Amino acid sequence: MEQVEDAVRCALDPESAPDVKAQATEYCERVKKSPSGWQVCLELFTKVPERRPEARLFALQVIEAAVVDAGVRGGASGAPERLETIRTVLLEFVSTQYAVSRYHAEPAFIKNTLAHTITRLGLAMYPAQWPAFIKDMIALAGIPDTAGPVSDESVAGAAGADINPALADFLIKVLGSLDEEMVNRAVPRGAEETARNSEIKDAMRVADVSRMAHAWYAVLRNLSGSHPDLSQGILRLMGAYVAWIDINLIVNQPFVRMLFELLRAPALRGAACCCLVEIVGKGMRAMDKLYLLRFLGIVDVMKQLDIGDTGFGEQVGRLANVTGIELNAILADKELATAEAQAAAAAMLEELQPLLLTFLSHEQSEVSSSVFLAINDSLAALKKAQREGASLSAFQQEFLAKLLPTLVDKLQYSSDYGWPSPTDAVVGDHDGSLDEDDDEAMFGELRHSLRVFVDAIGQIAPGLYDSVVLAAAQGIFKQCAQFGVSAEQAADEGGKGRGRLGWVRAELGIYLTQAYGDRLSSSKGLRFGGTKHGPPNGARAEAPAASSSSSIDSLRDLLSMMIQSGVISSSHPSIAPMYFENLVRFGGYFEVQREAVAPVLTSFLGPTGIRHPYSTVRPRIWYFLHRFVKQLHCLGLAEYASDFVSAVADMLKIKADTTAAGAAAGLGGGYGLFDSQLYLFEACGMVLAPANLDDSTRMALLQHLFDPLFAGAQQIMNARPADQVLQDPRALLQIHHYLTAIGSVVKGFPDVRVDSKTASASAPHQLSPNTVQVFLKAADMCIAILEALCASQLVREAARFSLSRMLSVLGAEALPYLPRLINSLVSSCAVEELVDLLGLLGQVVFKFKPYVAPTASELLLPVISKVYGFLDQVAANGAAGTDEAVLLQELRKGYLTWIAALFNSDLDGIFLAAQNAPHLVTIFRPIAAQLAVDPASPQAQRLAFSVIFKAVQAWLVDPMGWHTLATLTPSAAAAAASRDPQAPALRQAAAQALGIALDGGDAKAARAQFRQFVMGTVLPACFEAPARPGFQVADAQMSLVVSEIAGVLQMVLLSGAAGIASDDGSAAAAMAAPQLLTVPVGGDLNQNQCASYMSTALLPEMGCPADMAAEFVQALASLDQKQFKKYFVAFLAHSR
Amino acid sequence: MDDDGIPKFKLVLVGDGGTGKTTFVKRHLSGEFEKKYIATIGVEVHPLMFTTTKGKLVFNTWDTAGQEKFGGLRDGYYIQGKCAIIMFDVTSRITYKNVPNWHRDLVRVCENIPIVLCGNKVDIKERKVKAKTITFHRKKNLQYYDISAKSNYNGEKPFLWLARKLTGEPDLDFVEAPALQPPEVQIDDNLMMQYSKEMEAAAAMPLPEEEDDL
Repeated sequence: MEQVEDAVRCALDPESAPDVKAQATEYCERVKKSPSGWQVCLELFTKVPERRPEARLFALQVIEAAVVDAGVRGGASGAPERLETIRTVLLEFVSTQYAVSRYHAEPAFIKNTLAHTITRLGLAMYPAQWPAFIKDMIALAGIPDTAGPVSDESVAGAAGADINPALADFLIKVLGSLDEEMVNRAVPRGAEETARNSEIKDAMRVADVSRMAHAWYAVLRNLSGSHPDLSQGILRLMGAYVAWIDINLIVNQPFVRMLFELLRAPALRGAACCCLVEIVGKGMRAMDKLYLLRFLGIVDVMKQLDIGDTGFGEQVGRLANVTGIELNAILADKELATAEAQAAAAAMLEELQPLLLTFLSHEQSEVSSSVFLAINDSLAALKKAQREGASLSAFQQEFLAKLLPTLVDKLQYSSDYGWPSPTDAVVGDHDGSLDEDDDEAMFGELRHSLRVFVDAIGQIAPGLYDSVVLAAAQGIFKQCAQFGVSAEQAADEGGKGRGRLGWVRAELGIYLTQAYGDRLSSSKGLRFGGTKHGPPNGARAEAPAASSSSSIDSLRDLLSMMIQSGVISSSHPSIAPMYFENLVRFGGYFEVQREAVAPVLTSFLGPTGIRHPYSTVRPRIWYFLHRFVKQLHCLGLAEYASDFVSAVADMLKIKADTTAAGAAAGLGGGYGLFDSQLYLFEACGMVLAPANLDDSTRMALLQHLFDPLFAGAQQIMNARPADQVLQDPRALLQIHHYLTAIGSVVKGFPDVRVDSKTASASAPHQLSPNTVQVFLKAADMCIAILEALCASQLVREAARFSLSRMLSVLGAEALPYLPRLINSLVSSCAVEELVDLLGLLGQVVFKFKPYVAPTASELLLPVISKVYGFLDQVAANGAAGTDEAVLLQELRKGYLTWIAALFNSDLDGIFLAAQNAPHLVTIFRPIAAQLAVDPASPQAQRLAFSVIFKAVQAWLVDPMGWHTLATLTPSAAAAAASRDPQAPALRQAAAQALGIALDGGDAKAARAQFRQFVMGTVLPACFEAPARPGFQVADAQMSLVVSEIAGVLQMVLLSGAAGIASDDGSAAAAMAAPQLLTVPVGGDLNQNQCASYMSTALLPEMGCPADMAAEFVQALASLDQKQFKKYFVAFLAHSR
Repeated sequence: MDDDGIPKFKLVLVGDGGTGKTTFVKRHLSGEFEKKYIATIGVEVHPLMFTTTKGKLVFNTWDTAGQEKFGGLRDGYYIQGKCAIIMFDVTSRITYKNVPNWHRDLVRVCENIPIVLCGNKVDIKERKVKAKTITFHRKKNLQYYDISAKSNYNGEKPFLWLARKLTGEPDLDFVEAPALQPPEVQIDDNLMMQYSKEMEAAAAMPLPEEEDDL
């Protein structure tokens, strides 16, 4: 025993030496596992004088482990005797030791754990081995044993009972633990345990629950004055147990009188109220629930309570809330609730609603929000009734008319809301975790809920909504226009609605404008002045509804009022962000109000716009300015270009902030203020892009933007050799910023359209020749810096970003940079960059198609070997961690997506190019044999099969490249068939660019190899993938994999069809002219070499009976894709 | 409090194995991000010092084993715990499902201590435990934080909240950022915005009857 005690002390002591500690821990483990450990521990636990509490807790853990080992029903071999011993010793201990003052000296964790151990004992032994479990525990506390229904007569004996408060406390612990172990649904349990618990509950319902109820009453009756803590415990138990015991045991004269009495006892009213919440919320049938609510007279009770105290107010609010929810549920239950019951519930709800409004308007948000669900249900009921054609009753109208202004009032910021100071750093951590200390998050949540209600009323009663919400916003802007607005004062100068506007209501006006607009745009987008631009006749009639077009007019007018009110002159930090957000969100406004652009742009560029005094606000405005300019793009911004660039120029100074979170190797943002500066750079680009801007002005402004960037980068590069720059994190970050800024300016210009359909790569340029020259110069610099500093991930990231933008904007002119870019990136990139790089490569091939074929062909092998290098490396390092597993998956998906992009861009020819063709099968083998059959990533499986599908189509069905691989529709195929045979199709153009003769011997040889590979590897994979353990056809993603496999099988069959495959069965290209590629294949299956291979070789080898194999191939040939998939799923299920 | 006059609080760190408890602690100790997973055996105790606007304080952090087989003394480690962090992994549903078990065992030994629930690994895009399903803390009045030990996202928040609760100083703040290494991954702002929106929406929703959609 001493040894156990020492070991426990040693194991728990942070100061013990690690090896001693490990030894001690191991010793404890051995005690727990040894067959007699529990006996030693029973002695240790109950020993008088008592042993150290840590050791006693450990002893209880060992004893509990012995109880758990006895099995869910305590029936393991030898267990009953063991359990009996434990029970006898522990109960003896409780009755002798806890009845006296020792109970209070005992540490709480020992008492709690003992109660838990006894509970586990009860669960294992009750009812068979220990039928008196509950009775014994009640008797221990000295509570008279009474069973049966609770009535005035039955509780008569409770008066004056000699209850032992210590043991009553212990009883409460045991019953609480019992609820937690058996009922509380937050705790996960196994099926056997759940079944056992149901049996126990049934057994308890016979008599023991009524015993418990009488015991509860006895404690409340005798000890509520002297031991309020015990009464609180009892009330908690009642609330927990009411869910599954007969409600009549708690809702009866003695208990209800007691509860109402306790509602007036300051120390117990909160607990009594919580108990009532559970009683009212108990799951019951509608009629029973109505009876319960009437019996309790719950609304009258609440009316009499004093809810001045916030804590208690919240609890009563929750009671009102649950009552409202239940009444609405009765009203909605047309099946079970009779008409009279409905009328009674409606009457009760009418009585309750004023109370709900009182809670809602409470100044404390805790109280206010306690009734949100009841409000929600009431509004949902009204919405539903309205959908069913019912109109609002006078009472309901009145309720809404009171509710809406209350809600609008609550939408306001509190005047003592703590705003940060102007120089506070950016807080914006977008915290997904709601912090009760975080005012912003709490208010945001509250406002969000209120807004849902306000919007619902807008739907139910649009007239009311306009007269309240619209009128409030209009009133605020009028007041602002007349008296001005304050940045410091929260309240209006002359009381609400009078004099100079305070920031609280100014913000509310802007917020309501947003709410008003959001409501209109949520349904069908938002188009201002649709009637002006629409056809002159009939447009009116076709407009969704006259009210909605007039609402849009109202929004237009409201936005005009907002702009003209000058509310933006307030520098309060709550004003500008939402003001500008509104202008961006409802940007269509400027299409009908062109004259508003100039003043709005002025305020954007003014002191409360991009130069806002609050450093937290500024970056936000930069972002909105960017969005604003982007939206106006097509409307022509040429006239503002000079003013714009000179206004923002001084915000564009680049200062690398190495302290910002992302200083090291961040991907996609995280560079502090610079992230937001990028919005300004891009906006400048957009302003300079319009074709009608005078080219010399553009050049001057572009120089103005680029010169500092070029000069800054050159200065760093010229000052030191590259290897020294690479040692200087700040310099690298600065370089990164220069390159990214250049890329962002370029991003502001529109993408060039590469017309891959025509033979010419030089599509009409939207850029002026001068602009092209400047951008090419920028590209030169980017690539030179990249090549010098490609060891830096930061620089690689920036160069990839900037050059990909230049490729998009310059088109073919920038293509010469591509090999250099990719070579630098591939040679030194890290795993996580590779995924992005693959994405870029995919975009490039898709955009340039044949023009990029030679480059793509050269890059193919280096990129693939890089990918497999990483895949192997990550796999070798052990993909045990979540991060590695995710990275691996991302990379696989990125790789397959890129291969798919090559096919979709009709660049299949690059696999046949001289340097790649020898590796064709090497490239495809891992795709078919590994990626396609690994159920750990169904997305990768699907991509793998889709790549195979395209490859089979490209090389075995249409090897001459008549059809595009991107989409295969009958109409596209027909168009291909009717095209001028002289003009090469895209795939043919790509092959030409690569110098490949599609009907040449080399190409044929490569395809022959591929055909063998398909037969030997791809087809087996088609059946293996869905048969792997872990693959479930019912899973949505896996079902997509099956569709893809079905497609592959049909495509393979097509490749064997007569007229496509050559007569001698060799892999010679046979589709010499465009044909229609469609399933079902049909035709004579005996002539189809793939069909005969499947039915006579492949399937039988997999153990499929001959008739089934024949039927399978028949189905494959005759069904369309959808039908075949159905068949295939059944086939798979059958062959499992 | 010790002879050095710095208040010390025992903090118990629990949660399923592999959720990142040790990594989280190491992050604060050495600033390094531990990539390899090595299961903790029994318990490891680390003092984490913070400098606050109200002076220094130390969390003696008991980093306990999450894996059943390495559990050691389990509940015994909780004795005298003054506060706790329960951690789960947002990419693994089962680790969230087990939170009530950890909580129950914890409060049996430590009654009425402030507890923070942390969903770790939010930097990973394949999030499985969505914000709307995280409701346990609301039932039990715990504080919840999305965290990422890898990117330092919200790394100090749990400690700050606990420090405020334990000292009874709601305005307490950490004055100097603990010496942390730069984050390994960059939290995607958009991702966070999205979580944050989900969280707002989730907070506005009624609690699910029970864990019906875990």
